[in-house]
Amino acid sequence: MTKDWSSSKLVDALVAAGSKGMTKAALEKKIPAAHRRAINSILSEIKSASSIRGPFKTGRSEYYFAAQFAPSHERAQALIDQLLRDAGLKLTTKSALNDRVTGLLAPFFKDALSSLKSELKVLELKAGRSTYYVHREPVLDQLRVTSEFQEAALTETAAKQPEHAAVTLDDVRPVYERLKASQGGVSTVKIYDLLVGLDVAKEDLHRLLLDEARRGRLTLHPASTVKFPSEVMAAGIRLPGEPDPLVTVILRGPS
Amino acid sequence: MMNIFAELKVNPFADDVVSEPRRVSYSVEGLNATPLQRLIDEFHELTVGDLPRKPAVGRKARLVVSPDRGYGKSHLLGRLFQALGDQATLIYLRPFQDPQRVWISILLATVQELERPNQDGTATQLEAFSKGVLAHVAADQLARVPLGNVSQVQDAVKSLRAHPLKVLGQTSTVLIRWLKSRFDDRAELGKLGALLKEREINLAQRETAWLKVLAGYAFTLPHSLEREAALKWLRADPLEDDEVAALKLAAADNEGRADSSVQEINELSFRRLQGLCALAAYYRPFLFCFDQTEFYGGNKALVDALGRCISDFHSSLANNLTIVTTNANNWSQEILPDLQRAYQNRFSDDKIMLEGITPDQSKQLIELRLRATGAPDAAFSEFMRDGWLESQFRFMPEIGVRDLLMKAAARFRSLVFPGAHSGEPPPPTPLADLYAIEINKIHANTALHQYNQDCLMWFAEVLAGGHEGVTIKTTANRYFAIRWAWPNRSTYFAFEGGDNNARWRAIAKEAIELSKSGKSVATFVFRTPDLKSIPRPTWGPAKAQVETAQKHGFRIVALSLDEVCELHAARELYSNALQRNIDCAPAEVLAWLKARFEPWLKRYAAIHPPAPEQPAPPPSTTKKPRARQVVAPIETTLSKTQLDTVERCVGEKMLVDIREVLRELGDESLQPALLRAVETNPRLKAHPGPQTIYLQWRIVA
Repeated sequence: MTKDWSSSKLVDALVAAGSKGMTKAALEKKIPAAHRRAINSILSEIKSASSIRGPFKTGRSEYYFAAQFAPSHERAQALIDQLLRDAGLKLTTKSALNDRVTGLLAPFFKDALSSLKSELKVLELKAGRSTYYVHREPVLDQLRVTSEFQEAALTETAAKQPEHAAVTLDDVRPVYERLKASQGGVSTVKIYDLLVGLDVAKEDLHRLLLDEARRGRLTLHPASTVKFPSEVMAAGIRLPGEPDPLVTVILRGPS
Repeated sequence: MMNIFAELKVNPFADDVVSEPRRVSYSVEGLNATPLQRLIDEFHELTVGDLPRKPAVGRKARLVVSPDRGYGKSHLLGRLFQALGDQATLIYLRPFQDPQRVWISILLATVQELERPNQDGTATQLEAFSKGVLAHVAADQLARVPLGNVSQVQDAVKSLRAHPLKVLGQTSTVLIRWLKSRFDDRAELGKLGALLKEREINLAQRETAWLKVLAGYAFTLPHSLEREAALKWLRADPLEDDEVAALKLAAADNEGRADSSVQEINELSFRRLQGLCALAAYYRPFLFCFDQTEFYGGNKALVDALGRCISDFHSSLANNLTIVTTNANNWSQEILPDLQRAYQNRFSDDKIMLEGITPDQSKQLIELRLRATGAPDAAFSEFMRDGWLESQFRFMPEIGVRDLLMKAAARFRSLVFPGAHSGEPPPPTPLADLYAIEINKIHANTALHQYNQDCLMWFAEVLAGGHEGVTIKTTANRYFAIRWAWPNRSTYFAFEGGDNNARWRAIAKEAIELSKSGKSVATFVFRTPDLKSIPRPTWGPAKAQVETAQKHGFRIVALSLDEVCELHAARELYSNALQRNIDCAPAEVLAWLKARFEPWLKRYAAIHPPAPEQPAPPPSTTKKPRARQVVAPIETTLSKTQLDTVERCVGEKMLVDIREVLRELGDESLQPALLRAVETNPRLKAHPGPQTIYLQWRIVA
């Protein structure tokens, strides 16, 4: 039985564990007894393939995560974004916010907050010595400003209708993350590779990618600096009036 | 009705490539703010705590990735340079050419970058670095003297630590005299060296040599014997006896050997970089930026060398942030497949991705560009009419900044010539024009007038490929590393930027040996105008050896400034093609350049008759000086009156042909001096074109 065991099962376990991750001890239990002594080399091997991240130390425990669920700048950013959205128009102090971004995400707090500020997603307000934060969406809502974001929200609702049921961003993301990991973490992934990995109709994927690009959830790019094979170029999206097809995609943040 | 766009002399959007990060003049608010902030934050992790700091090692390199061409890699580096200012020693690195000489190339570029002005504009980066390090070493020493707790001494220590450049920037202060006296006292110098060791600064038993070299640079005038010798030592060149004496070094400190192999020089170059980085703990960290990495793509040996180099930066060079920029597809298709897994792991997992420009940011950029060329206020709304900008973003909320600039440039042309080009792409710019623009860019960038071994090797290795059936080989020779081989003859090239007489004697000796190998042989070494001419008039046996070698087909080729600019421009043009900064395939550009350099190739492919006998110089009537005098290169600078004339002329016309400005000055030979003045004047900017260089008056600060 152990003969058939593959280290990819650890990756599967970590993917299933999601953002909770797994301790080294828990991972060890997933390894057949005959291989347990080699846990360090097994972890190094799958780590060097960029499939997992870790160890992240908290207290005495060492945690591992699937690459897409590892504590990161983006995950911290997504958490702060959600906390402030949930707070609505209620102002949140920096320290209150900091208290909610805990554990392994804590080191990313400062950077993530700066990013959200520079992207104008959150507003920083000052009163006396205190600094407060509020998400811009409730503010825009209060001001009854019709923004691109409201439009995006409307189309987002529309996107949940079954017209794109053939393929969704949730279907794309795991394939995308795997491809991204296979190229050393560079997030520009070929549409051709997504098509191969997803096994969906090109038109369905193109429609999804263009819709999601308009909503700002991903970006699409030509590939003018290398000569890709014709099948890779053919899998790209041709836009009217644009000389080069869009051949690669970058997904933003975890879903 | 008057066409307001036709009044403008240049297309405000034509300049869409940053080839020199220090020239970045303005940026759009918010664009790539997150990637920039992440790099700044990462750098600031190196500056935590009081000076001197504990050496910071084991930091992974940061890969800055552009989704496609034209998302602002070099621009981001320029903004990072501006943001860090004098908190960092800034080193910008173009691609190296030879996997065997990586550290030689990086060290040479580093020393040239160190000689560039410090960000506060007061002196060179090296002057700031050396004074900064020495100030903290002095403060360490002062704090330990028996009277170290006397308030005056404590104040001096505080002052040195807080304002090292100010305190050591003054001439003849008590502190400088005191510090110099420490260097003259062997025992005291030993104590200073021991202090470095105590701070975990590992200088491979050369602590006192480093202090003397830094002092030799810090407290002397430009072009003085001491300063030139210090630079040579830092470049890992061997020193002459008088240079060793000028720096008061021990003979063992002169580690550069005349007969060193390339591997030995490469290793010594690495140790020098280790020393510089280690000493950065006493002042400020280094920022190393590897740009134009597309150059390595597809060449396994170069990719491997890049990986090894980044790995060594990680494991052995302290106190620095290493940044590597790349286009995403070049990285994943042409570099990553050849990069060993161990080297891949030396890059931080978290890649920094550049962002596209949004509609609001585009408005800001277009307005800035129009205003900078003197367009009237009405031009902006006229430019934006008919929903032009919205149509650029109809499919996506952001696009590449160069794509936007290219579309804006086309829009500008259609507004200047309504109906003429509407909807059609502009005719491609001929390669001859692109090359001419590149030459003018190099002329306007004095940093690229210096000796560059990589560029010369690229000429001999890449540009010469396929010429008249030549086979190009790298050799195992000590000096003549590249060979052009034909069945009946050979041409060899050596690459040496130093002027050590023993090394040149050895080079000449190897040239003679090669000439005796049986076939017809020519041997060449290139020199650029910034280097001293060879053989030096004071040389004895070395001069004789060089002259003998010249009778055996050996030539020292003194390239003119124009030739240096042509060579650099060729490599930059090819690099632009690799990065798709221009709309030409790299193979097409290379073929065109090979044809363009045909006369050069013929010149060096031919076997030359022996050089004519040089008449002996007349015997000197003056007594030979005991110490060699270092003569500063003749570098004309503009007078205050001439500068005023330039500013008036450019300020009145906003954009003017450099030839017109030179006519105003009454002397066309002042062009290099004028370009140097433009480089340092924030109100002036050079716009190289195919025929000439335009000078622009900057409205935007």
